[in-house]
Amino acid sequence: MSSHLFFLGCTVPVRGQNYELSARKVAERLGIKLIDEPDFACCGFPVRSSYEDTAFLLAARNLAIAEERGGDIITLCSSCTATLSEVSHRLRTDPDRLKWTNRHLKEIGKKIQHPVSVKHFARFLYDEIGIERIKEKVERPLTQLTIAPHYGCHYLKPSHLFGEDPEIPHTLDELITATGARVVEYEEKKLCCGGAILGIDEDVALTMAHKKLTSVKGEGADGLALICPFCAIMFDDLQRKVDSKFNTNFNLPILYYPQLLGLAFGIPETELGFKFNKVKAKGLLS
Amino acid sequence: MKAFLCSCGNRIPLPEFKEEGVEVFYHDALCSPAGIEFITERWRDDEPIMIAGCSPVVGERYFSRFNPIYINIREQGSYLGHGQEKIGDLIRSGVAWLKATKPIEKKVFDVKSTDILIIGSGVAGLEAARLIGRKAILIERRPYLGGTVADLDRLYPEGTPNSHTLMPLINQVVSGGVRFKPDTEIVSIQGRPGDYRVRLRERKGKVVRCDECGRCLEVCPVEVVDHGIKRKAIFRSPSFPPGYLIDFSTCDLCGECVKVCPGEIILDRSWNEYELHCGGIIVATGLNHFDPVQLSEFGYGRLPNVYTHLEFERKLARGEIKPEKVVIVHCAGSRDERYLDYCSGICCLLGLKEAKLIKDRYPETEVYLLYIDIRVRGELEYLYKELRNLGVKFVGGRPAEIIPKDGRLMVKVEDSLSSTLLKIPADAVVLSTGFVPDKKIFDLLPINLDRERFPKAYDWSELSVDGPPHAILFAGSAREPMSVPDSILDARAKAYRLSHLLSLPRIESHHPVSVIDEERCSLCSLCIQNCPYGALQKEEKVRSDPAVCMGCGVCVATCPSGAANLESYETGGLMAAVESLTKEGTILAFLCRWSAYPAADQAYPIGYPESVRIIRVPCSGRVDPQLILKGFELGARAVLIGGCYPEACHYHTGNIKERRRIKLLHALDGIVDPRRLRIEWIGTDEAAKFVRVVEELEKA
Repeated sequence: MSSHLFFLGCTVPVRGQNYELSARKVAERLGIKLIDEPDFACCGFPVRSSYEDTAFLLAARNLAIAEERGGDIITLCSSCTATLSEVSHRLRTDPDRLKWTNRHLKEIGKKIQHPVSVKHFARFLYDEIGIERIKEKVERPLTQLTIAPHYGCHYLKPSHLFGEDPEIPHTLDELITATGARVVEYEEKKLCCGGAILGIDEDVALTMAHKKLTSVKGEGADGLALICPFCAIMFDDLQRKVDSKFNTNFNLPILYYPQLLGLAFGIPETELGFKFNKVKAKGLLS
Repeated sequence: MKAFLCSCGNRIPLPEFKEEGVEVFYHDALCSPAGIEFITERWRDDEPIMIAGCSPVVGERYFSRFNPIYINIREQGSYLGHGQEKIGDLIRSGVAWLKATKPIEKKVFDVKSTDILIIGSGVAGLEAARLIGRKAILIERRPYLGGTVADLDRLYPEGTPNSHTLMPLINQVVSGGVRFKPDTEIVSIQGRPGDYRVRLRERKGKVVRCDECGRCLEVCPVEVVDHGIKRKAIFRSPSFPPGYLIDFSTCDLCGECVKVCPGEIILDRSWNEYELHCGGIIVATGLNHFDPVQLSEFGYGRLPNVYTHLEFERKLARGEIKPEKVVIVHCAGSRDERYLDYCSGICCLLGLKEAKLIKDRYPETEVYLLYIDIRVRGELEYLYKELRNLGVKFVGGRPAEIIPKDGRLMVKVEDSLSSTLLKIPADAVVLSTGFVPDKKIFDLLPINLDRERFPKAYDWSELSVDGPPHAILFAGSAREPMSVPDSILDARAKAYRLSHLLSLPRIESHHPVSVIDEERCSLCSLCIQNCPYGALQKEEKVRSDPAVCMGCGVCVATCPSGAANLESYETGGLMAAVESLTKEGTILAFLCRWSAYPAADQAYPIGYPESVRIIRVPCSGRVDPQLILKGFELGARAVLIGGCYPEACHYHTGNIKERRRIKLLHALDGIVDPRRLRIEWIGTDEAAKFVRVVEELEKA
């Protein structure tokens, strides 16, 4: 059983319990040991646009803790993934930045020598577990379902760190296919969820979410699978708001990928946090 | 050693001057025929001379062939009303410089062969070969003549089919006695102007005798896609030689063609290597298309019906496609920091040409043309207007992505003029990509070139008349992306230039070049990295090539061992000048000969302090720290380095390199006071700026 430090970030434990619950269940089935680390704090992403250095040090602090514990990091949130990965990469390739960082970390008695690696849970499943091993664990193939994948931004970018062409993403497609569900192509596959601009201009954000939901619904998808809590806020939490603004009635279930995978593994839906999904997925499961 | 002092028609009060070992001559008008005669009678080419009088900006018109050390006692002395002491100092500095220098050596390259090798048989190579005639050796990597143009339907930009231009050109080349070698590559090139040894390899296999029956085509099992068009490994020649030809890069040597051929075919992929001798080389290797596979958002290579302009043109011309709706994407990969950060210059018109090709054949086809900026030059604007009238829709925007949709393609693009997102369904998307240089040839030439770029720096150094004459010239799109008419004009110019150069018994040049002292050189190679021309090369020793060096002196200022020197601007000479000019309170000004020095020449009507002492340098980049530190050591109040504005340096980046050096000197705490050491960009006409700067330094 491989063990990894589990980095939850701020949003998942508060607004994405279904994500966390299902990921823990799925990991258990796959023999991935996720270790909780109470010392982890903010990844740094929220202050990045205002204080680059502060964000960098927040991320570095987490990396230093992981290095002390001797483990690599698995994340659920795509923004945490990108922030921690970028900082880890920079520390590995820029000795001056590493020196600078350690000068500051010294004040809290921490140090980075070999920055740990950081992986998004979904990418970990794809790279380290592999589609074949996932398929072996599937007990209840979801052949009746047609699912649209939504990658979001920071799962793919910066692409030179993640090695997946953001113009032709494929890993989530393959992960969905592994559950037995049919993947649907849709026109707005690469469109942003709108979450990035939600705090500044809600109109624009909801318009983007609307565009995406329209495109997914138009292809007859039963649900939209995603892997980032911010994207889920846009499509799940705010779906009713989109509906009332645009006078629509999407009623499109939004699933975290581990929820979908959990179903395929035959884990009872009560254990996968479905009660936290805002758009009820009942019809989907029958 | 001789010093000539000129009073310029008694406008300069000449001091009595004596110096041991120096013969001093006085004259009233050295620039008059009598004056030049006066110098000529006393001048020997193995001995440097000094001329003190007017500014070299004037004097160079008369005295260039003597290569003297110029001392300017007119614009920097009498015109300013500065006294005898300064004029005396200036003359003394010239004599001190004279004693430390050697005459500039004449560079002689014997012309041992008058043959000219032309690499590449596109329009540029063909036009050069046509003019050079029997002296030309034309080699071509492919088995037939014509380059990119042979693959096109029509020529850019005027749109005539290539039978109008290419075929008559080929006929003249073939009948004009040019030695043409198809299926031939270069192995190595060595030598100097007038005397190059080139190793070539020619494919052993070929179609020896062809009856043009075409049976080989029927039996050949190898199918190749050649810029969008399917053909066999054996194929009908689009130009010359006629008949059927073999593409050995794809042929699998199965021998089926040999069995059915009534003529003779040799199937042999191996090479015959041999050497030839030539006096000059014209590089006409044309251009390579930027590979749009890298632009994954456009789906080239992944989605059907996304083409490069060349593929699209060939398919359309042969009737293989009849699209109802076409989107032409300009600047595909161009002016984009991720791919090509430059404009290839010709692709706008290529895109317009493709639109015209479609409209000529299928007027009903809807054409969208997506652009960043449309760049059509001169009268070619008419083509743009005509296409608008024909109903081509111009959209200002770069596509976000191209995706498959309902069996067609969908191009998503923001029309930036109306800020609306357009989704354009299309049967074909044409990517108008930019062009990249053929880098393979750069490695083979005995000159150093920027590997990422077209050979601009090298080419421009040939355009300057103050450098060495080059016998390796770039013509046509090998130099930069060029239209067919421009390529032909360029090739014509290069062919005549080289023919003239090689008609001389020897190529001579008298410009100062850098010289490396092998004893002192530590092989650190800093000079090699800093030379803008690639004149310095390290084999066993570092050596400066006088056929390439332009004489900027950046290597001299860079060399930490004092091994590099520049003829006539040796460190010894400049140091002697610094020593004799600097006193307590002197403002020492090193001024670039191209801009700051002529600016100072024009400053006499305004006037400036007498404490200013000017030393003329070929480039601000020649000024090394030891000259500056020496000035301060001797009591200089301030040191000024005057150079050209950025981008205006005669030697590309000498000024920028000097600025970097000055910043480093500023960083030396306590050694140099940054207020007293300045580098300033002073344009040729900025006399007032020069005066302002030296006055500020006077107060510093």
